[in-house]
Amino acid sequence: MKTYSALGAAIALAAVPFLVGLNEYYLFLVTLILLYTTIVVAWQLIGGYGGQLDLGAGAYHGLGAVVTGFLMVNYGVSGWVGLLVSGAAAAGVAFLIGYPSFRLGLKEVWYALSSLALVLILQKIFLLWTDVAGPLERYIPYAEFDPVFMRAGTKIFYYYITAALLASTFLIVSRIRRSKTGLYLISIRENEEAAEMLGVDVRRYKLQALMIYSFIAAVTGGIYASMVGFYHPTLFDSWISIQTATLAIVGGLGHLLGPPIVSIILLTVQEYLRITLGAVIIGLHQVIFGIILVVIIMFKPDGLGPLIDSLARRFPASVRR
Amino acid sequence: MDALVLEGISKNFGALAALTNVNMRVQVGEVVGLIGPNGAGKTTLFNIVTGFTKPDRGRVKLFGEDVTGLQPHQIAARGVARTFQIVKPFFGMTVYETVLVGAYLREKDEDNARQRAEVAMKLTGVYHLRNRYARELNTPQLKLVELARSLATQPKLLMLDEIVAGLTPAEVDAMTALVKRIRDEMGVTVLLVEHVMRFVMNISDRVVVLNYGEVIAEGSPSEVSSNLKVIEAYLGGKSGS
Ligand SMILES: Nc1ncnc2c1ncn2[C@@H]1O[C@H](COP(=O)(O)OP(=O)(O)OP(=O)(O)O)[C@@H](O)[C@H]1O
Ligand SMILES: [Mg+2]
Repeated sequence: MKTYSALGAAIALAAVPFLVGLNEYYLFLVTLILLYTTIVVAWQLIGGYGGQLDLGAGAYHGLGAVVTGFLMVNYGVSGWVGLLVSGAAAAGVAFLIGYPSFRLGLKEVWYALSSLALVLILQKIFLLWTDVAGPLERYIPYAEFDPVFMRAGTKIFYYYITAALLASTFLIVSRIRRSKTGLYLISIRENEEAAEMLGVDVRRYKLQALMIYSFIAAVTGGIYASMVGFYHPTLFDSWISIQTATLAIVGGLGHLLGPPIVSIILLTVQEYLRITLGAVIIGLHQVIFGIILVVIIMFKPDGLGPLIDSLARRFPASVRR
Repeated sequence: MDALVLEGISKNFGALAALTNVNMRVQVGEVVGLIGPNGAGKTTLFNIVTGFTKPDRGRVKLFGEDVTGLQPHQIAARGVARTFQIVKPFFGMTVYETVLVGAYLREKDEDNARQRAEVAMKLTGVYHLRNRYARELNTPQLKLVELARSLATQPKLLMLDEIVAGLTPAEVDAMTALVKRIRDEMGVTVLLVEHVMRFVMNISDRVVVLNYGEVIAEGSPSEVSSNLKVIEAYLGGKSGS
């Protein structure tokens, strides 16, 4: 049954470019949606399982864009290498931030705020650091189709890279969820002291979750920079942090299927609203999007995860019969 | 051989002396009861042994090793398990998952960990609850689950903080039998804090009495229960003449 669902998801992901008629603009939007969804899925590790309200996604995403872009622009380094280097850089920053935070026992709103501050701090640093970024956009050399350099004129190239990234992120996260590490992270979320007394090295596991998530968030940033063809410090975007946490919570903390499904749907709605209403009254789409989120949380305080899980359980059973 | 040695432990919370120069030892294989009126410092002593609280002065030794200042997970790795006076359940996890967390301390392999967890659940009588979420359970059940997950870590020293508080007399008797089995069949040393005298006196080889953070008496259950200082402490009187 599982293999059928996986196959179905894979076929659906593969078919999307044709469903949008290979239109470059729509391809750009669906790639964007999948990139943001990937961050939401990775965020489950630290937020959904580890229970830490991390708002650093914008920092790691931005770091991925800047580091990958910088290497492509200045040294002609392949984007693929850039993704790995920027992922490692983000994991390194996550370590530098996470180690003292978890050691000091920063939690809840204090952890949330300090991780959000990272987004703003990195943005300022790269605005001032003109050797690497600075206030001007830096353009990545154009290539009609250069898969080795990871650059192409058509968005479908980036779409498939992103779809593969989302699928692997989902597999990694679901694997961790079923492992000892996943169980340990959830026990930390449920009660840190009790977990610690059962031998769980709370700091180490939180740090591990933070580093894997930040690596993946950076990879999404690198793909983004290569797709749009430039990078700029505004890619350190606190909106991405908030969007990530919000979608993960609305999708259901710690649920496997809820967050990606809800992210894809709501991000699609958001983009639709932006296209249709964004020009009518500036910001109207964000207001409406906000109202949708509030309504969902009012009626389903645990998010849509439980509902989606039970649907997922029922559906295959009825098919089988 | 000593499982636990406390040497000159003192701990102040601001102006309050929660523990003052406490010396104590628990031998391997013993069941030691730690009693004393409310606020005597019993839970504080547990927190110091398990690394949740740092003592102001004194040393903690486990199985001959100085462990003062180690973190709780390091204490757990050295063979100490503990239940909490106010239960600390994993509400969003099933009983099975909860106990499995404990089992993973010494069993790296998933199948072995599962087996270990099942043994602990069967011993404590919560196996039939294995697929229930902790949030669906009542307090006596949660206490048993807490004991099960502690046992799943395969401890050498088990510390129980008021494990029978709030249980019915029949449940207290069952717990007495269970703790005796844990000691006899698994060879686990037990240190327990308790107000329920029927339980402590029935099960302990030795009883230590704390009052206002000081050890005021120590001995066999019958010695301690006839000790005048202990009776005064429990009647709430400050020793007069
Ligand atoms: N973290 C803390 N900060 C300040 N005071 C504390 C703290 N923990 C304990 N105390 C105080 O220290 C004293 C000893 O508390 P402790 O919890 O160890 O007592 P106890 O013997 O376990 O009592 P009980 O039988 O009621 O559980 C009490 O006066 C308590 O109020
Ligand atoms: Mg107490």
